[in-house]
Amino acid sequence: MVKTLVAIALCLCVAAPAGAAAPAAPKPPKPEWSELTPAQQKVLEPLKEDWTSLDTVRRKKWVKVADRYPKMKPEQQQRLQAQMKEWVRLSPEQRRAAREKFLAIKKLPPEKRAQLKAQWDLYQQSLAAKSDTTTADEASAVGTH
Amino acid sequence: MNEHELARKIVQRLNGGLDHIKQGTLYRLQTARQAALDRCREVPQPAFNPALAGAGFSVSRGRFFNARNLIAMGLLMLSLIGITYWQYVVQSNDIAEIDASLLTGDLPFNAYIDSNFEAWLKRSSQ
Repeated sequence: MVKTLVAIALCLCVAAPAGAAAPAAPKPPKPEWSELTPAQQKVLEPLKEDWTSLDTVRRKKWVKVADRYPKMKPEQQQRLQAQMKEWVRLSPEQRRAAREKFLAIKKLPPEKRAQLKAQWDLYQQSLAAKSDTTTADEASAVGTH
Repeated sequence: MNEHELARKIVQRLNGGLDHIKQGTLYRLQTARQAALDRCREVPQPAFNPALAGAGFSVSRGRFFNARNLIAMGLLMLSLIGITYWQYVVQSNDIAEIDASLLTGDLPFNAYIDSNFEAWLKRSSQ
């Protein structure tokens, strides 16, 4: 019995790479944009331009996200559509890092998460203030020449 | 009664039982044993002996491609396909759920990848 199992395992090990190496025409990613329902197309409209660059796994993932869309609150729907275009243009490493960080932050207590959101807003304000100062400095420098 | 005593009694009982087996039963047991041995001898000796033989075991074509092995192989393949598909579905659902939550959350996704924000947080906490 042991010999039989070892033989089967060896056969599978030999057969699997042989099957993988067999020449096969690459399948086009699915689903095509035209295959989406009108509702899915409407949700995924920001991705229309990038749809051809997405592989099957990512396309199917977005279809699942689109199917969850009707259950989201209006502000969540807005956030999703506002961010999806930039999100797909991130590198896989960036997306993975973002997911890991998101999951870590999700475990924090609600007050900590609220604090982090407040800090992010503050950080954005500080960036905007710095940008305004730089613009003003450049304008005054141009004015003195 | 200790363990050895019990074992001794069981052996004694079994041997006693052996002495009292009916002739008819004994004959049927002998016939069955002989038939099993004959069937075993009838299996053709391997003419085809793949390279596996050198690895410490031999697998003949006749023995390998029998119904039992084919069923076992089929079940193994089905299990592998099932596990792979299940992992794919679970992983795909997980990523869809994470992405949907991430992109609809209070924090924009840039907050998770902006290393300057992280540095700013560290500075402001000092």
